[in-house]
This record gives sequence, structure tokens and C-alpha cells, in this order.
Amino acid sequence: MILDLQNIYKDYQQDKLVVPVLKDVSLQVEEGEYVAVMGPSGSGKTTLMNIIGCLDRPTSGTYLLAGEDVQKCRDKEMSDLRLRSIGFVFQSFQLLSRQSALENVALPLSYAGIKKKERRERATQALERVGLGDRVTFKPTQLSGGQKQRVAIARAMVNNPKILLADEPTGALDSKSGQQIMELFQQLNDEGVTIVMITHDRNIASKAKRIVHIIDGMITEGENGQTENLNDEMSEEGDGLEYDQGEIEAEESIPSEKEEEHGDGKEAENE
Amino acid sequence: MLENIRLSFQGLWSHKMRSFLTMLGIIIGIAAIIAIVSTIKGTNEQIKENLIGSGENTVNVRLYQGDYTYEIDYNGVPDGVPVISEETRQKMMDLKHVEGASLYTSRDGYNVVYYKNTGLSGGKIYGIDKNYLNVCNYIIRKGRGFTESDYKKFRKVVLLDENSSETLFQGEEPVGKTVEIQREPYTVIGIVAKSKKFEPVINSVEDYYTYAEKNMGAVYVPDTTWPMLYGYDEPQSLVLKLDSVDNMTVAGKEASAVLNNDLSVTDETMKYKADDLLKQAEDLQKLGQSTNTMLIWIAGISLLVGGIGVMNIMLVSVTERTQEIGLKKAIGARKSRVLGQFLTEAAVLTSLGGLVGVIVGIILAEVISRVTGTLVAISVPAAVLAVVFSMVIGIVFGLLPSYKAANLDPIEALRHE
Repeated sequence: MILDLQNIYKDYQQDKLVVPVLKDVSLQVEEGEYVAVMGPSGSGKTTLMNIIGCLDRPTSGTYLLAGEDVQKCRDKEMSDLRLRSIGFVFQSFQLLSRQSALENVALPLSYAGIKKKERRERATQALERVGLGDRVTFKPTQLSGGQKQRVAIARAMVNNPKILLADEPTGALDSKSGQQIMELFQQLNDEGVTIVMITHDRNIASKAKRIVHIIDGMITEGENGQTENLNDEMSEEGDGLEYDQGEIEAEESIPSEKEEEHGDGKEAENE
Repeated sequence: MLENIRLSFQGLWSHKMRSFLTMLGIIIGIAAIIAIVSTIKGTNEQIKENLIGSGENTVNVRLYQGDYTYEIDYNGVPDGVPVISEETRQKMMDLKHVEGASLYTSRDGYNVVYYKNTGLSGGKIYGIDKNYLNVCNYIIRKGRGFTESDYKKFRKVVLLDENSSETLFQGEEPVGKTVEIQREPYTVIGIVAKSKKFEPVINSVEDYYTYAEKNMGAVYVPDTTWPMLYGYDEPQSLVLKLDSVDNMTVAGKEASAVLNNDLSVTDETMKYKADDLLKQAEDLQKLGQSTNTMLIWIAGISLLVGGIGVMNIMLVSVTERTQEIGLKKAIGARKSRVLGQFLTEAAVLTSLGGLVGVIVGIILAEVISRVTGTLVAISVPAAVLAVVFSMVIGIVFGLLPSYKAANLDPIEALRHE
């Protein structure tokens, strides 16, 4: 088992108020799985991702990453876990704009203490793997959104992490590029990469083999049937991607409203 | 590390104007210090050179009463101070660092030396032994020097230096002429001069008084004829020739001790002492020191201000690059790595400033030298130290911003726009 979260609680201190964000979350992910964690914003999915990504610690509960107890890790060891075991893909790409695609991809390798020559080779390979072998010297500003996200994926993959952790990977992309990125994830998963993807987008989530819903800090595991249902729903909606794109933007401007909508949708599914 | 330095240059280059302005504080501070230090060093070397004379490693040991030289002119021949014997002179030769030793007597030459109606209105009369000219680096310019028989036969012969010959003879040929010393007729047999012409650089009134006396002229007679002029065999002064300027103090002290051994004076303060020119030079150097120390403090304050500027701009840079730092931490950069990156950047910034400052300082020192005519000596260790020091400034003032960067919470930092 790669990920093993048991009874995770996470509280945030807000002034004198303790706000529970995750309540008794347990989640297991096996090697080679492709899991989507779905939930509306404010549901705690970002907090869950931060904990899975070793960026944050749970208030209580145990989290084993490839058998290692993350709770016991100190700051330095957390950094090393992020370096070697986790590949991050962010919604906003998070590329260094002054550095070339190659340098961006090679960055984690330098933290791993790998020699310059090998860094170049491995970074080039990683870029080729995501189909950007001809763009190695390009700066992020010279790349399209989809290409930027591919560079980010190459960077995430370059250290051969145990899991690829993606946070709304298509959130900032147009539908076509988004689709290509999802195809790339599929391809990587077929090659055996474990993927955990966080999204609020049903259509994106539906590409995963397994969906985990998180609502109000609690997890409800989606059954296979439900996953199928989701797929059906999507096909009914036709090219719902365009619609979803609008939905994302709308959500960002008025999140509270959207949350409710999502919540409603979820309840309907569960019934 | 090299990677960090490369990245730092890249970062600084991408904000050329800002980097330069930040460096300016350091540049000005370091340039000021280098210019001041160079000027001080130049002045100090000049003082030393002026006092000691270039390449002339002689030290005089004279009789002192208290803090002043004993003036036989006014006080008469002292009791209990013996005439220094040839034997004692030989002892001096055996001292360490001593290459030559000579004994001489001297009096002020005011209105005692005449050629016809022209008098030497100052200067000195020396009664010298056979070694004097050699020890004090004199050469015979014209005529001849003293011979063995001049001494033995008490011949009334005299050597003039260039100043006295100019004053007395005013262009006339002096050799063979007769001058009057203390009403005794002496025949001029030669003209002597220092083997190395030394022209002191006169910058101040004090300098002028120091060297004016030496330029009044001197006349030299065999010491065996001294009693004919002044009636007595007087206790002499001693001049030593040393292997190096730096040994003046040591050898001078040893020689004085030997001479003081033979004294049987009632006045405790009556002692032989060496003219410690090194010490005099240092004393003169110290006079200027307080001003210079103040200047260096002022330059130091400008460095402090520069350092605060560096800290300020680094803090801005950290805020600006919060997201980048967050990303780096998220993908596995350790705290120490981020800390190192920002410290390197600060150190590169200030070291560069220091380097430019040294160059500007050297140029400034040269300009000062041209304008004021003082000597300027560039100190290589000071320049190296300045660059190292500016690097340290970068590290010290970079600590706070770097620490702030290293401890950013990656979650918060990634969210930062």
C-alpha cells in the first residue's frame, strides 16, 4: 500500500475558535491506482491534499506513506519525502518563469544532489515522456497553458515519485488542453504511475478509476456503480466540459453558492 | 554552491537597476575606506621616509639630560661623562645588526665659521673620527678626505658639505682656500655629500622645521683638532650604521646601555639615548591617527547603512518571490537549501559591491594623490579584507531575509500572488 491514512483529523485555529476541517478521514491507495478526490471547495479536499503531499500534518491520526510514518518526520525529512515520494502538479503550473523548461524540470533533481549531466539527461527524458522533447529550451512564457502543465508534470515525474499528486490540474486550461492533460494522466497511469487527483469537477474526476468524495471534511467512498453512473451522467450532458469551465469561473467568484450546488448534487448521487 | 552563485547572478542581472542601487551603499562605504586607508598608508610611509631618510640605516646615540639633548654649548663639559674610547667603539661593532660605528663631537656653528667676511649663520661643526664619513654614507665630491696623518699631526684641515660651501664661497672654488673656525685658520681640503641624495617631501610647517636645520650646512674637522677649537676633549656622540631600518630601536638601546655603564654622574637623568627615529615616525603617524579613525568610522556607518539597504531589498525580494519559494519547498527543497540560496544572493550582491568599491576607492585615492600631492599607497591586504568584509556584511544582513524565506509555509507561499 502506498497511501494509508487512518482516522485523520485536522483542526484549524481561527482566533479562539477551533474549526475542524477533516473529521476521521481514512483512505487507502494501492500502487498503480488512479484516484480522484472530489468535493466542493471548502470541503477539506485541499487540506487533505496538503496532508497527503506532506505539506501539512494532521492534528491526529496516522499517515503512512509507502510504509513511512509521516507524523514522526521532522521538517527535513518531510522535505525529503516531498522530493522523492511525491510529484506535485498544481492548477497554476507553478513554473519558474526565468528558467527554461529543462531547468524547471531539472530543479528537483538538483535538490536530490544529482550531477549536472545526469540532470540534463533525465530532465530531457521526462520532457520527452510528456511529449515536449522539442521544447526543452523554451521559457514558460513561450509555452501554451497545456504545454506548461506538461512541463509541470514532467517536473513532478522526474524523480520517479511514488505518487503523482495533482490539484485541479486542468483548472486553468481550456477544454482541449485539459482533455490532453487527462489523456496524459491516463497514459502515465497505464505505465504504472499511481495518481491521486483532487478536483471539484465531476467530468475530470470521472476519468479516474476510483472516486472518493469528500464533503464537510468526511469521506464517502464512491462505489464502482456510482462511478459508472457518473460517466453516464457526463455523457448525457454531452460536451459538458465547456459548461464546467464556466462553472469553475463562477465558483471562484461566488464560492458559497457553488458549494451548495455541489453538495446537492452529491446527495442526489448518494441516494 | 556554484549553482547558487550562478542563480544569484541571474537574479541580480534580472533586476540590474535595483541591484546596482542596492550595491551603491556598499560601493561608497568600501571606496571611502580604501581611499582613506591608502592615503593614511601613503602619508605614514612618507613620514617614515622623511624622518629616517631613504636607505640610510643610521642611528645616533647622544647624551641626554632628562628629555633633551645635553648641550655642551650652554652647559659646558659635563662631569662624570668620560670620553668614549676606541675600545668602546670596537665593542659597539660587536653588537648585533651593527655594521659600522663612529664617534663625533658637534657644536652649533652660529657665527663661528668665516670665509673672509662671509659667515656661516647656522649649521654645525663636527669633530669626526676616521669612520664617520663611511658610516654616515658620505662621499668626497671634490678634493680629498682626511688621511691618517691629518689626524696624527693635528692638521687644521676641514671638509665642507655642499650647503656650507655654497653659503661661504658662493660659487668660488673652495678647495685649497682657508676658512676661520673659532678664529683658527683651517684649510678646505674637500667637499662631501651624501652618497644618496635625499629630498624630503615638505608638506607642512612642521616638516619644514624638521629639515631646515639639516640644510644650514655643516663643516667637518678631524676630532683630534677639536681641543684646539674648544679647549677640551669632549664626550662624543655615537653614530651606528645598521643592517636594516627595523633594527634601529633595538641596536640603539643596546649601544646606549653600554655607554651608560661607563657614566659616573650624580644627575640620574643624564643618560645616553638613541634617537629613535622609528618611534618619532610612529608618534607623528599617531598624530594623524585620530582624524583617520574618525573618517573610518564614518565610512563604517555608510557600510552599515548599505547593509541595511541590502537587508531591505532582500526582504522585498523574498516577498516578491514568495510563490517561487513555496514551490521550491513543496517540490522538496530543504530549509537549508532556501536559506543558502538567499544568503548566497546577498553575499554575491555585497561582494560585487565590495569589488567595485575597491576599484572606485583606488581611483579615488589616485585622484586625491594628484590633487593634494601627497603620497598614496594602495594596500593589497586592505583591498582583500574589504571584499571579504563586504561579503560578511551580505551574509549578516542577508540572514534575516533568508531566514524568513526558509521558514515560509509552502502552503501559504504557494497561494501568495
